[in-house]
Amino acid sequence: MNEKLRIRIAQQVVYVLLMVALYVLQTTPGFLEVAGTRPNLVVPAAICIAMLEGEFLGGLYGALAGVLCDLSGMAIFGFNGIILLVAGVVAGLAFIYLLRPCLSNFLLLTLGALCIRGLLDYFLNYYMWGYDQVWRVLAWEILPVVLYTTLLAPLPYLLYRWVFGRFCQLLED
Amino acid sequence: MGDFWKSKRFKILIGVLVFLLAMMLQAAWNGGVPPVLAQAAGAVVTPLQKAASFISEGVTAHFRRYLAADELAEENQQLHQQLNQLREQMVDYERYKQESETLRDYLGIREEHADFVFQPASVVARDPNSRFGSFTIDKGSLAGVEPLDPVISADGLVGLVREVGPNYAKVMTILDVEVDAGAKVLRTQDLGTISGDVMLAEQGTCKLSYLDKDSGAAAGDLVYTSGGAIFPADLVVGTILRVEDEREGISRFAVVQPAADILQLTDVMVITSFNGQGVQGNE
Repeated sequence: MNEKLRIRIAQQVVYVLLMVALYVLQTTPGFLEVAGTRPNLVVPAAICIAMLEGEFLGGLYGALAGVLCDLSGMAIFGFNGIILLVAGVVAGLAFIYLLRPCLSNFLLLTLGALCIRGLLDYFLNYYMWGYDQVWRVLAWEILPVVLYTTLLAPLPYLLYRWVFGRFCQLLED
Repeated sequence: MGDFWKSKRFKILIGVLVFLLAMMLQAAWNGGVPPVLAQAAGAVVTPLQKAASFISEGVTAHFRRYLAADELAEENQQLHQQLNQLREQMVDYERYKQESETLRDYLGIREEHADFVFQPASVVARDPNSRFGSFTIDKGSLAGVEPLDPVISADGLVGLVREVGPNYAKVMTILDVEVDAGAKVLRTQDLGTISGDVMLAEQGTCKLSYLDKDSGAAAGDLVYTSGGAIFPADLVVGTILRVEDEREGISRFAVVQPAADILQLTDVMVITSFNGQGVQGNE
């Protein structure tokens, strides 16, 4: 195994460990909780990887982020995995062909991915079942998570950018 | 972009997508038993969540201790020094006292319901995408927990197990719109159904539906489970806050404040077995 491959493997291991760490933090009771709302940090992490590494790894890490969301969420297993896999691929392609890889575009795509995930969650798991006052789930539960996550999205962005930069430096050396 | 759609990478991603779809179908087919992938991932992350939860509780207790110290210092400056020395002991004492009271409460439930088999568990995760106070506990099928097992706290009914992995389980609470539990008003013996309601859940309350139009239930009345295949009888659910007419006018409903502080729970008990479990389908 040559040195470059070893570094690339180490890079992916660090990405996975960071993703798991973000997941553990976001599900820790009380941590970063504001008025009952917790951020979904693994989504911006997946979008950031898509921005840095392209559509293929973006899709794979999107799937990983989704599987983690499915672990403790109440939606059927695979629901988040499929949505975030597609979101990762689309984000990766968007950064390759349409958008400049910068913080503002990253936030835009993170917001888009969170909105699509949230709306699908709302329509498939709540709205179509016809519960009373169901719009309140969207207004008071889903949208606050979307906004709060977007607000905190620069944290995983900076973290992954830093890791990416370090490994790029190692590869150049 | 055309190259991507024809590339090996795209085919791998399609493979992952198909795999996730298969997992989804398997999850839907098996009900409360998650796919192998989820069980494996859960087995890895649950100990991490447990550790994070433990650290989080410790840090919170630490800060609370200092807040309490500030208040005490304002109230009595002369005793401040002494309080500082005793604070560590006091924290331990309060914790043990609380644990002891909790265990005594559980013991009370156990004495009242000799047929119950309990499995104590800790709340290790609350997911940002979950609603109605649902949470993950650190006990699963290896500890005898099964889907639809009732979950209680020392104060009263919390909910039921929805999904079980080897070392974790997901719990949906009585605030959830999907939960229905047979219940009765203790004073009047009126029967109804406890369920979640989107609007009431925001205030941490739930709904006792299908009360008779002539029901004498009133604010302050205690609500207990009436018993059935999923929930045993005579578990405290909560206290009625108010009684209102249903929109259709054919029955009444009560807004119930759960006895358990569902949104702040850190420890629960899973009832893994009780007389009559799974025998009939009242819920």
